[in-house]
Amino acid sequence: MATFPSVEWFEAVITVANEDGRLRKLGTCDAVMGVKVLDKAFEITFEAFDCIGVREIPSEKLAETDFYLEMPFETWQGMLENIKERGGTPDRQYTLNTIDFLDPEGFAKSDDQSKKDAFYRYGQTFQQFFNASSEIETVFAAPQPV
Amino acid sequence: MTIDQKTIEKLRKEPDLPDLDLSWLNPKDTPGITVKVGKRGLTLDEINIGVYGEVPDLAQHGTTRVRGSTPRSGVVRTAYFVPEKSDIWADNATLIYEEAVQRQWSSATDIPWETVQPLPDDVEEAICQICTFLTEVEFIAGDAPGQWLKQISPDHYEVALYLVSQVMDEARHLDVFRKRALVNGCGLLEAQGATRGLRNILDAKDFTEMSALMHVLAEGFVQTMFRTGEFIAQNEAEKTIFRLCAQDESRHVGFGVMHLRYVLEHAPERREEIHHYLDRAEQLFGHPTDGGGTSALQEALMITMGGGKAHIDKGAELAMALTKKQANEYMHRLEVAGLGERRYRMNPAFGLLLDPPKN
Ligand SMILES: [Fe+2]
Ligand SMILES: [Fe+2]
Repeated sequence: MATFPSVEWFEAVITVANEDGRLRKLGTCDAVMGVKVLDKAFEITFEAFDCIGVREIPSEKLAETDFYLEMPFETWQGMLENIKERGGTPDRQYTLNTIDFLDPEGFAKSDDQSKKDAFYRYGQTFQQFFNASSEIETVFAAPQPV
Repeated sequence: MTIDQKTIEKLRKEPDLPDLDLSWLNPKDTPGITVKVGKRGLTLDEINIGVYGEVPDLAQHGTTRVRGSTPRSGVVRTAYFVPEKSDIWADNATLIYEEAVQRQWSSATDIPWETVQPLPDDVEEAICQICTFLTEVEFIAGDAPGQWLKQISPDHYEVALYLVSQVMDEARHLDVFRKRALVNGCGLLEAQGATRGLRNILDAKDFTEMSALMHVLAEGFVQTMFRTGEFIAQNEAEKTIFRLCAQDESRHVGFGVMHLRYVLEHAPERREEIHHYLDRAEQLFGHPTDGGGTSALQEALMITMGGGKAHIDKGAELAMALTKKQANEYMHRLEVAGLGERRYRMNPAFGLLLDPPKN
């Protein structure tokens, strides 16, 4: 059981995503992905064939990632619950690309469109990464404002 | 490793051997090379070191001599290559090529075809119309880079490898959309024909013109549409198709943006010339009878995005949001490439859809 969002939750997902070669099968992925949930920010690093780590970072550091994913806590919860319910194959309104399309501001954010394109170049890898969360038990706790 | 002169002389004089030339064994001026296999395996970036990594600004021979090898006299010419590096180069060519090789997929086995189930007639037909259009478009997307392959010098081989990878990607797109049109009983619908904007790409007389028109403009628009395609998908198979195709398109767009940036940095006098190509392309691309706006495609998109003919209003709203996103992402990519002033002369069909500049 791991709490979303936390370093422990991402580490649990990384373990599942790296095992049985599901990310490796999709090919190389070199990107630093940020995740922002309310006041909390995380940096998840993908290198060569694996996801190699996660750390919590101050929100200001998100600008140093290739792109970061930001949406309201309830939307994160809705997406992850749908992924869990559907055994790792989310309904179309809960895929990363759809959420990104429907958000006028964009779900994936970056000041540099060419760096942001990493989100699209490795889209299937990131989708599989979040899909892997269906294999862990998640409890949700909205981070409190600091 | 090189062989010293003493050994070569000894070999030449070996009594039991026929007369040997062995001049090819002469030590070269170039030093040996030590390569290290990295985390991604042995990639081109790992062997593009020392003299092997020195890419000439001018390709000065028309033979098959590969970069880093020793020249030989009397060799026949095989082609007229584009000589200027800045006319064809992109700094991410090796990265994109290696990534393309690593991230290949098979339309036969990587798509969960079993998830395609009977759909309402209007939705199925709309999807098949989109697939008919895309199958045609992918033909051109493969033909256009293919036309340039024979003009890339071995001195600039990285670009040739990238172009080959793109042709392979487009072949797979062509086949996967054809398969989707046929898999559920409906089949291919109305052919749209190569529209003016697409014909314009095939007619490009210059590599940068072709790349700006195809990689940055057309494929940028297609990439945004594929991401939306996942939203219109009715099953896991279609979601996977659009997601995988969007990944591939992102590489093509990525090459084009970096090529344009390279040209603008190394041949700034070409700026106005490039605007001229885009003026014409945007006008044709935005034309009502063209690929960006064919009525069959637009109607089919509205039906699939809305979830059926009955919800075409909702579909029209989403299709408009798609066009707006396409225009804005196109503009952002031009900014990354260094052509930010394009905002002020873009075809109003797209320019009016742009969000205000961020700063
Ligand atoms: Fe394509
Ligand atoms: Fe493409």
